[in-house]
This record gives sequence, structure tokens and C-alpha cells, in this order.
Amino acid sequence: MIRAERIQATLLDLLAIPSPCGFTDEVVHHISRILAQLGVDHELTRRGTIRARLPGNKPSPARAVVTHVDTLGAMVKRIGADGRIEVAPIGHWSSRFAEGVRVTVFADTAVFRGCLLPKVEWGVSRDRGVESVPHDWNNIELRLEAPVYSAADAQRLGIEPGNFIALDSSPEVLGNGYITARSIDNKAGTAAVLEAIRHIVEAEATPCHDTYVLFTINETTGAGMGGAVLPEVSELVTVDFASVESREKTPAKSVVLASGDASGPYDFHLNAHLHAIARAANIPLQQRHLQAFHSDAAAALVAGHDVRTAVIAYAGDASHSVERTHLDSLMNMSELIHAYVMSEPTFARDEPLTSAAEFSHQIDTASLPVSTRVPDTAAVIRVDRDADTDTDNVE
Amino acid sequence: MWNDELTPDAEYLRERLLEMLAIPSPTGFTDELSHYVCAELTRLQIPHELTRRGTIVARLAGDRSGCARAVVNHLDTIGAVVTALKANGRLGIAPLGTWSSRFAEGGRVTIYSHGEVLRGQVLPVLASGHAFNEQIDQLPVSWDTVEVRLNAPFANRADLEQAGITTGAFVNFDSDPEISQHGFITARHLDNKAGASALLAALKLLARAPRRPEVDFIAVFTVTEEVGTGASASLPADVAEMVGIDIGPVAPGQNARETGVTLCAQDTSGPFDRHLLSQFKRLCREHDIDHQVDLFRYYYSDANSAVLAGRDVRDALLTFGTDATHGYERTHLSSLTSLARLLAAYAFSPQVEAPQRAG
Repeated sequence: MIRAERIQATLLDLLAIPSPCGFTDEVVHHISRILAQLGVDHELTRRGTIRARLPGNKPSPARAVVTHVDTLGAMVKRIGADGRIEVAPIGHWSSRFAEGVRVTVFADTAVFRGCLLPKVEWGVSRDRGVESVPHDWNNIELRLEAPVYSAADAQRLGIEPGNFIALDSSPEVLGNGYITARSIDNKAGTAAVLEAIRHIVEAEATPCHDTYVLFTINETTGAGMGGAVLPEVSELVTVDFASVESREKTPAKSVVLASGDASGPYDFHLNAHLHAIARAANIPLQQRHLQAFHSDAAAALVAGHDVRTAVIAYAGDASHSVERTHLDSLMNMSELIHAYVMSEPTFARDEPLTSAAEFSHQIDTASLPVSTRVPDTAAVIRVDRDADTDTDNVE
Repeated sequence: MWNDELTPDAEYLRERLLEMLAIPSPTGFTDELSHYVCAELTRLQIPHELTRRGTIVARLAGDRSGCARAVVNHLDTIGAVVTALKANGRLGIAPLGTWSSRFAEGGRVTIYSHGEVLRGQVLPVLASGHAFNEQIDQLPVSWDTVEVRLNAPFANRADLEQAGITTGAFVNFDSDPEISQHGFITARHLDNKAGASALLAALKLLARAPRRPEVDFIAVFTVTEEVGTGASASLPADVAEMVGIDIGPVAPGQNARETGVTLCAQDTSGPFDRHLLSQFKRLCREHDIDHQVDLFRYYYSDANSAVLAGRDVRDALLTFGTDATHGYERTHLSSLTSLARLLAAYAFSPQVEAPQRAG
């Protein structure tokens, strides 16, 4: 059975492991350990993308469920003469949400704690002028909680450009099911995917077709799918976070099906398939167009895989900021992933078609509306002839 | 005789173009147009395959195999998608592909949703001069300030929900084509159905020709160019040269014209293959095909998606010059027959080895 307390426990463990994009080895180890405990076969690509396999009754056409384990973060850019450290974002996020965040800095030889603060000129009191500092990564600096007052101090500690900076997740689980934290995107999705796998393993259920579960490490920078998708994979569903709760009036417990995003529309037929599965399993699924969204599914197409793609997202608020989601949404997500893995493929045959006879349709011709257009001018302006005809008829 | 062999059937081209303009095919909603093109290829007795999502790969066997030539042409068009069911019973929309809402205003549209297929029209949110006077001129041009007025009795959000309309429904703009006595064709979606008609005319010519192409000649009809992934996954492994067919922008500062073939030397993704471009210029000169070379400043095409997906192919881009691209497009039918003629000449031409040293 899919259990909320297990999703929550998995999520909190994942949130405790720093994994900004490019610094994901430890979270990969952690997930690999969980999969090994569950007895799920998996392999790692060179850079650490995990490809787990849930064997089905047929090897092809196979399907893939994708979740990314990398998160936003930052990187040391330059050390100022005063020892304050300039940083650059990892992933696409506003410096507005960086202010006040406690961070861990991973230097080559030691690990430091620090805090991201707006940059204010030395000599100016920190309580004046701070309102006029524009939100921009150039106006953010890292204060190390260490006696650092000069560039030399920082260098002596081993701080240098390129050091990874991980944000504290600071999670808070409310009794009413809400969870707030940094990096909910996409550790909550990963927790939901792991719970679905756990459920399938416990139930000793066999999917009808092979299913690959990909834990990717480059989603945040848009290159998550390099080398990850096998040729027999015909359809691919990405699990991610969508900030739709307040703006789109989406109930917190729902799962969102992205009709499309900044990369264009997702697959018409796979989306219809997911709608049907959700209806049958009584899972609340809301279709939304996510305008400023990018996903691993889109990256798979850019990387040259001819797969049908879809994005299912747990509903939440304030993505890439102080994120919030709800355990009910994660529960429903796990249920939907489980139902999807156990369902028949969207299209059962997967050889290239040599004629269009078996190819899908999108328009039911009977449903097409009929409209009236203006008649030919020449036919209408010959009023004399028409009048004559009418007269003839009367006679 | 050489010239007769290269003369495309202009009537056939014109008929295919008008028929394709009648079939909706915004990116992501291209199944019906894929069906149409497959039926046409079957009629021409050209063997073809469909990929999972409907990209068509047709192959005319050449005298030699290996180092095949692919001509890539996209079938998908720009369009829109429903993003909001509004409280006033109208629909908020976002673009599919990159284009300005300025050119969407006034467009008549069909909405393909889960329920009824509906007709409507795109209007600015302030649409009545009698009601808003000069405020209309101050309304910014943006997709957030246009909406679809459905020609159905919907007064509020609940009406829309009841009719089964969901966000994500596809919006197709009427093409509204018109061909003048001077041979100009004006329509939406000449990008890239005009290209498809030229390629079909070239294929008809090649399929009926008494001899075979020099090497395998592959026509690829892609379905996701407008969102940048058309040729990511569809080029067969033996393709050495990839020739894109697409629209060319005619505008002040551009060298493209609505007649002849406009050869693209460089677009936003960088320069095209120099040797292939030289070959096309030479073919144009040898076969008396009107042509010009241009550079496109804000432009991507399927060639970019193939290269990004890791394909090592020589690429070229042949275009039909068109006024007001991604707006109220207009080209001249002669640019399409010129294009078909150049494609046929290319198919019969010997493959040129690139010189060891450019110069």
C-alpha cells in the first residue's frame, strides 16, 4: 500500500542530503542504496544518472518514469578584497529568494557554513539603503561564519571560485499535510516515485511491459536526459513540481498534467492515456498549461529520442523559492505513477509503420463544425438574371 | 531533355498546397496532416515509414547507397493553446511556436477540446471602439491581452467547463488562402506547407523520372519544428547531407525575394555548410534557376535540432522567400516551382567531395 508516512520519511532523508546540480554523487548513493534494499536492478551512467528496471511481461515497447534528484544551488564566483564572496546561481532562480538562506560551502579540503545576504557598501549602516539594492545576483554576497575579513583569510581557508554552495532545505511538516522547504523540487517527486516502486515490489506485481525509472542529475540545467533513454523506450513520463496552487486555483491534493510548457505541447495521446488512468483510479488530475516550465521530458526530445512525452506534477506553491506542497498531492502522485506503470502502453506495437493505416488520428471528422461563408460576388451581383429567373418561375 | 526532366508539375503543387492548408496541424496536433502526406506518398508509390509520433521518412533508392541525402521539411505550424477559462466565458491563449499576438488578433480559429469542436475569433481584450475609444490603441500587444471569443452561448467559466473545454486544448488558426491572378499566394501557414508542396512536387518528378537519383534521396516530413525538435530523432543513420526546406523572411534589410530560391548561408544557430551551399549555387546557375543568398537573423530550423541531437551531417537550408513570416504570409508560386526544380537537380547531381582545404 502507498503510505503517506513513508513518503514523508523518504522526503526528509532526501532533503538532508545536499545535491545542487553538479554535486549529486551523495544523493545518487542514497537512492541506489534504497533500490538495492528493495531488490530493484539498477545501473548508473558515467555521471550518475540511475536507470532502475522494473521487469515487465514484455521487454518492448518499454516505458520510462523520470524524476530528477538535482536541485538549485549556487557557486562561489569571486572573492572580494574584504573577504565577502560573490556567488552565481546554479539553475534558474531569482536572487530575491537567496537572501537570508543559510548555506553550506564545499571547499576542496573543508566544509563551511554561511549565509547569503544582500551586498551593501562597507561603511554604510546595514539598516539604511538596503531597500534600494536591486534584486540581482551581482548584489548578493556570501558571509562565511568564520573569521574572514580579507581575500587572504578566505584563501587560507581554501575557499576558491567553483566551490559548490548547497542551500539549507529547512523543512517543516505541518500536521495538516502541508510541507514547506527549499528543494521540494524535486525531492518530493523522487520520494513519491520511490514509494510507488516500494508498493510494486511489496505487492510482487509485474508491469505488462518493462519500465525504467530514471533518477536524473541535470534537470536544473536542462540536460538531464543525455545517455539515459534506451531505444526500446516508447513513452516517457516525467514527475516534477508545478507551482499552480494559488495562481491556477488548483486544489492542493491534485496532480497536474501539463498539456504543454515552454518547450511546446506534450504528447496528445499519452496525455489522453494518463487522463483515462487517473479517471479509472479516481485520482484528481487537473490539466494545466505550464508557461514558464522546462522538464527532462523536453530534454529527452532535444537529445534525439523519438518518444512520446508527458509531465505529471504534484501541485504546490512558490517554486524555486520557499516551496510548499501537500502530502495528499504526493500520495495521489504515487498512486498515479503506480497505476501508470501497471497500465497497458499507450500504443502496444512499436515497429515503424510502413503505411499510415494504423497510425493514430486526432480529429473525429463527425465533430467538425459547419460554417457559412460569403457567396461569390460575381454570382450575387447579377441580380437582373436572378430576378428574371424568379419571374419565370412565377409564371 | 535535361530541362524537361526538371520541370515540376505546377498544377499538382498548387492543389497539394491548398489541400494541406485546409488541414489543421499546429505543433502537437499533426496526426491528420501526417495521414494526408502518407496517402500522397502511397499514390506516388514512394515507400515510406512513420516514426512513433508521426514523422514521415520516405526513401527513393539511388544508384548508390550510403552517404544518403535527406531533404527535411516540417509539417507543423504555429498555433496556440488554451491557457485559461476566463470568468467572461472567453479563453486565454498562449502561442505554440514563436510569434506575435499582433498577428493573432482577428484570426478565426477552431478549438479542439475534449468536448465539442468550437469556432471562435481572437480579439484584444478591449475590442469595441464604441466602448473603449483610444484606450484600444494604448493596450499593449501581448498574448495576455488577447482572448478567444467563442461563437457559442458561453457567458462564464462554468459554461466553458460544462462544454468540456480544458486548458491545453489546441487552437488552430484558419489559413484563409488566396491566390491572385499574378501568382501570389497569401495565407497563414505557408510556413511550411508551401515547402511541403514543393517537396511533394519534386518527389512526384523524381518518382516518374526515367532514371534514379545519384544516391538515396530521403524526404523527411517532421512534426515539431516550431518548438525546435523536428529533426532531433528522425534522420536515418546513413544520411550524410541534410537539406532543410523552409520559409525565408522577405523584409527591409533582407536579401530574400518572393521569387526564385533563397539560399540561407547562416541563421541564428550559425553558418550552414559551405560546400553544400556552393553546390546549390552552382546547380542554380547550371539549371537557370533564379536565386539569391541571404542570412537570417532571428531564425532556427530543423537543421539546428539535428546538430544539437548530435548528428554529424553537412547541412543546408533552401527557402521560398515570403513576406511577413509568422504573420500574414505571402509568397509567389514560382518560388515553389523553382524550389522543386532545384531539389530535382540536386537529386540527380553527383555528390561532391569537400576539398581538403577550404579556399
